[in-house]
Amino acid sequence: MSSESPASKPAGCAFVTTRWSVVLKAGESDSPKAREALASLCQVYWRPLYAYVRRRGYQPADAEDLTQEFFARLLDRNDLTAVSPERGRFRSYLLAAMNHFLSDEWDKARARKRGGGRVIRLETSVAESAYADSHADGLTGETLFDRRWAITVLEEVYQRLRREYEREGKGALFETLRFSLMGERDAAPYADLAAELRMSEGALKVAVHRLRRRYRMRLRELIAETVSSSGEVEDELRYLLRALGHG
Amino acid sequence: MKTPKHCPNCGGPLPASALDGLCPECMLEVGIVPDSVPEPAVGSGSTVVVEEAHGQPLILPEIGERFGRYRVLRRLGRGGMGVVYEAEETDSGRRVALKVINQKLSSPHDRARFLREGRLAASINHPNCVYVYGTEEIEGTPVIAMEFVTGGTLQQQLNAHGPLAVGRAVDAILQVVEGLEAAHDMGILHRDIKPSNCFEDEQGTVKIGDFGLSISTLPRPETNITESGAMVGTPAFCSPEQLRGEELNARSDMYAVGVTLFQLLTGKLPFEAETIAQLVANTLEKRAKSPAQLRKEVPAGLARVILRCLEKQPSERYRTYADLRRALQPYSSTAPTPATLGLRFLAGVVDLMAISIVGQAVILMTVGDPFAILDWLAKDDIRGWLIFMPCFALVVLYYALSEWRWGATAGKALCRLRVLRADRNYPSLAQALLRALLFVAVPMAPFWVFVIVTGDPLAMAEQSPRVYALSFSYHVLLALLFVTARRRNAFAAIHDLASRTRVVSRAAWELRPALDTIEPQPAGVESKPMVGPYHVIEPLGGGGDAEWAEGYDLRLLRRVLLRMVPVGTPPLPPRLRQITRPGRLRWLTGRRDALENWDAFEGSGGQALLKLAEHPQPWSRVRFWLHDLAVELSAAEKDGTPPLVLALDRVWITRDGRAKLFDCDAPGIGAGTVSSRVVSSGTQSAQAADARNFVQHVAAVALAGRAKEGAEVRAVPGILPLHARQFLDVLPTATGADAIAAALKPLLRRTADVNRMRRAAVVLGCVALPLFMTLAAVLGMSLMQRWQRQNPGLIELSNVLNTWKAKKMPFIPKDQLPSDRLIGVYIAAHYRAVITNQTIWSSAIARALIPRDAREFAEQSLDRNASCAPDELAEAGKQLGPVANQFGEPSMPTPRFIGPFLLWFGLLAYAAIPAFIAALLFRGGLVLRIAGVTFVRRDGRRAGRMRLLWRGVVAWCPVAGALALGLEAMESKSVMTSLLTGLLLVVLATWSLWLPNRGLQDKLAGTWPVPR
Repeated sequence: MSSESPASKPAGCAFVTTRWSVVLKAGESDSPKAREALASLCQVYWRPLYAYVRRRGYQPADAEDLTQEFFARLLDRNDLTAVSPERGRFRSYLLAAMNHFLSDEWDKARARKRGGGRVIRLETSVAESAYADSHADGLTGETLFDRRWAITVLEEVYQRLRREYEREGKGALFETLRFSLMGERDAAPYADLAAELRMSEGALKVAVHRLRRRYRMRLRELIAETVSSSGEVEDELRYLLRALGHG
Repeated sequence: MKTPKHCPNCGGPLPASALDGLCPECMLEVGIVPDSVPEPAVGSGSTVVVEEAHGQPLILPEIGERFGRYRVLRRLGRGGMGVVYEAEETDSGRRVALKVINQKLSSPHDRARFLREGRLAASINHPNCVYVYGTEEIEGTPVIAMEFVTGGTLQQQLNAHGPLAVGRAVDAILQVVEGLEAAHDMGILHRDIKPSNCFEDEQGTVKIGDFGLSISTLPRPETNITESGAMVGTPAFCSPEQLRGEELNARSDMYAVGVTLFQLLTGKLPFEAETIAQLVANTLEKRAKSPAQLRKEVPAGLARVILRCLEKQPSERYRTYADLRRALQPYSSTAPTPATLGLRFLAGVVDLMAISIVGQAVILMTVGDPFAILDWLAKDDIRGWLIFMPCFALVVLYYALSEWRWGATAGKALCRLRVLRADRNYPSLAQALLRALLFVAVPMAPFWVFVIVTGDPLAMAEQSPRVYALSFSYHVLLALLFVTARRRNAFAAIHDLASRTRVVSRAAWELRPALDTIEPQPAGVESKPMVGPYHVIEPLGGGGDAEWAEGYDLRLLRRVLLRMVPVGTPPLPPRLRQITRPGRLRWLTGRRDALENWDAFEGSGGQALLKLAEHPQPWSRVRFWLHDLAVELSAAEKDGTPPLVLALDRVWITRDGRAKLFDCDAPGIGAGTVSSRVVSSGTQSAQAADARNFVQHVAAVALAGRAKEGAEVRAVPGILPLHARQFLDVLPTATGADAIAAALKPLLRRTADVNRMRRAAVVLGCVALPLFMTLAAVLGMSLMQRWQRQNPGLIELSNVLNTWKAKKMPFIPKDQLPSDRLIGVYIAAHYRAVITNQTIWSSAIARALIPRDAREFAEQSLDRNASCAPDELAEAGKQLGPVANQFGEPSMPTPRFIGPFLLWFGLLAYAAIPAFIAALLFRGGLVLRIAGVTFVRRDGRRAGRMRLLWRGVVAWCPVAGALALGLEAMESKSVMTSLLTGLLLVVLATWSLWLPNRGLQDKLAGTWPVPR
């Protein structure tokens, strides 16, 4: 994951103005603030889009160019109005925009000299191996996109959480306890773990509880960035869980 | 970083991610839980077992490893009390769903309860319930081995594709209801019905699984194990009484069925809440929102069914599963059958008769005289409109309101018809009004035009060609409304098309008739000898070289079929051990060694087909068997598991009336006692012919009840419904098992026999029209008497003028009639007062009785014959006096005597004679056709025309006798004779109806009534 991705903000006010709502509010006015917000969102969520383009049948090199061009146009020009986003979620917006782009714009874009610069850093080798590994054969592009989106959200929140713990000097604790983010794991009894970390069992349970609490908070913050109102967060969470279902 | 391929937590495959081996799905599941609530979120659908956890660890199988005699393949999910894995039985290769007790539940109490699930579920053997193969303990861990259902749960489908299509959801729930009904018959309540406990296999069969929380309502050993009063179940699916911890019955499961259907249709739960406490409060107090509000396509009627399941009071829900199934049936994916025009005609006649009887009665009671309304209308008396308009509106409202509210008028309900929109809802009020207006007002339009153009409502009372044409136009326009009806548009009439509704026949839901009731647990099983883990309770005799016995499984408390085979018999081939279809005998387990050689199969009660076929079996049963066999053969053909031998002695009929194919001779059929034709399956191409011959053979033997003759029986004798006969006739040309199953499927829902109700309906249908006409005539006569009193002289005048009219008719000898002059004289002398009385002379009744030209003649007569000679008057009196008084008051027959006479006459004229003609021309008239009845001879073939004519003559001759007696009674004015004649006929008809199967006339004519 890119180390340049935007650092997480402390919790609290995150629910009030979300990045996506900033973008939506800016609408046609094309404010720099909105563009900046959009860019930072795109930097996080380009991978599901890459997987989607690949699933649509483009070769890796084409898919990379295409994704790059898409973002360039999205961020460079005021493309926000071109797609007339249903004032919904960033995820649906991005997919709709890409579909629009693929159907109408791609040929024109290819005819023109490629330009606009590299606005988003794409590590396509990573994305490509993830795509190759994703058993995408039986899935529709949309399903794959949603699944990769859900995984990207989790990756992002996982990395933010890890950096947070590392910053606080609790990297080792995170490494030991990170499996508790997957729920009850009976194979690792708390007593053994506590001994390993030289903590009491009670303290360990508290640490696990805190890790999970912080994880849930960060997860909601991250998702809040991509929806237009804080009321949609739980809905989006459920959507993502459904998207992950059926391995 | 090297990551494992599967999640150690859920067993699912791990997608590539930068999560360092964490499973995204598990992680998101943890993340989705609201932080304040440490327990799983309410509404997530997870089962809550309120129980103390024990910390003692149990062994959990690892994916890919051996676990007892199983190899664990993958984790399928978590049930109420344990984790479920897909596993393979290593010795047989059979796939099973292996449920392993939850690690947290390790006390002896929990283990016993866990195994009890297996025991309760094992007692149910139904295609819509997951079958339990057995329970055991592997390395101290209790497990239950169950049928593995391939298609996943309804919850998974809901997650993957969102809410289900209405028809599909209802189909699934209908199957759930069948499974629950089977469980209920065994005295078992499931208590945890929800989409994630409903499994669907590849053929689309839905099976109820996870009986982890089920309880028995029958006295069985150890049933009280969970009766601690603790609340169990999934809160969102729990009925109010279940939440309150009260005693439960089937209606509690019915509530959960309602919630499940609600969720399948809308993706939402009827009650959602943040916390359990709030959910419980909502479930107990709030009224569920209608699912139709959440999803437009949900028909309002279906929404009502769901809401009725969700009633707080169990007594407000459906009484039985059968009632619920009947209510759900119209919304299943099976397309409704369009109503035939014949049935609609009958329904229309019934409605028209109902309306006119009620209408006339109301008018007679309020106004007293139908013509009075016309008089008022003519005089612009407001009372006329006050009565006429509401009458018109009431007729429209009768159709509109009843079709809007109940989907049918009285006539349609009687003919089992429903008015539906494309979405299977009853029409909206606007649609119903539009339908009714078109249907009522269009045929009446010429009347309106006539009244407006002539400005003379009284003209409608006249007897004139234009009024006849007007009456005729009503019927023509009514018929024209149906000019658009075609088979391809579901016989839609113009008012159906305009309102975008259709009239359909309500499907008859014919249940599969069961053979026996459920057998109780046998006594003293413990002392019986054992084969493997089973006690042998009854030897069933030989089947080939093997010995069959009925065994009992004391662990699972259920019967099994045991087949002891000679030493050296090879084990059953794997492909046979893996079959789980209801049409084949299910293998449970077996052993081959030096001491014991046996196989255990499911025990489903019942008898061998050949045993049953010692007596003729009714079509209502046999059709289900044929369908079962055809479906099984077709499925077997597809997956390459056809039986090597198809033979009559390999067909078993289970207790619940299902046919099963054995892969060996069925028990109870001693070798050599029966010569059954054995059909060996050859090549693929020969399979179709084999299947066809086999089904044909089963049908012939079972219907004829001639098992002993075996091979010889080819033709099917017996009294069968016409559609069954047609099916059997074309059976030899069927292209394969698939085609046979498809042809039989619609027949399963048709009426299989003509019951007394239907025979009574035929009698009533024949009697209705004459009875109606008699009543009308009697009513007319009493009105006539009344008019006579109210308008003295008017009837006489009409009689006199009829004589004048008669002179203008062709073929009447004019010379015997009095001259115009004499008639004029007579009128002027006697009826001046009538003609000059404007109230009488311009009343509707006067215009109805006296045609226009006769009126003019009468008026002119007054002027021309102001004075006349006395002898002329005397001559006129002599000739016209008797004519004038021919229906005069003194000689008028009273309705008391003429009524019965008219009825007998009407029966002969309007029922018997048309019946004779119809018998000769069409082998049955309208009433029989509408009732769907036809007649066959003893050999099962349709009765001929002459025989049916004879049957008609036999049936109607008592009425002819009654007519003679009625005539006599009218002459002698004997009330007793009339009464006795009527009584005699009623007794005869009742006696005939009371006889089973067929009436007196059928016995005399040698015919049997059968459904068409």
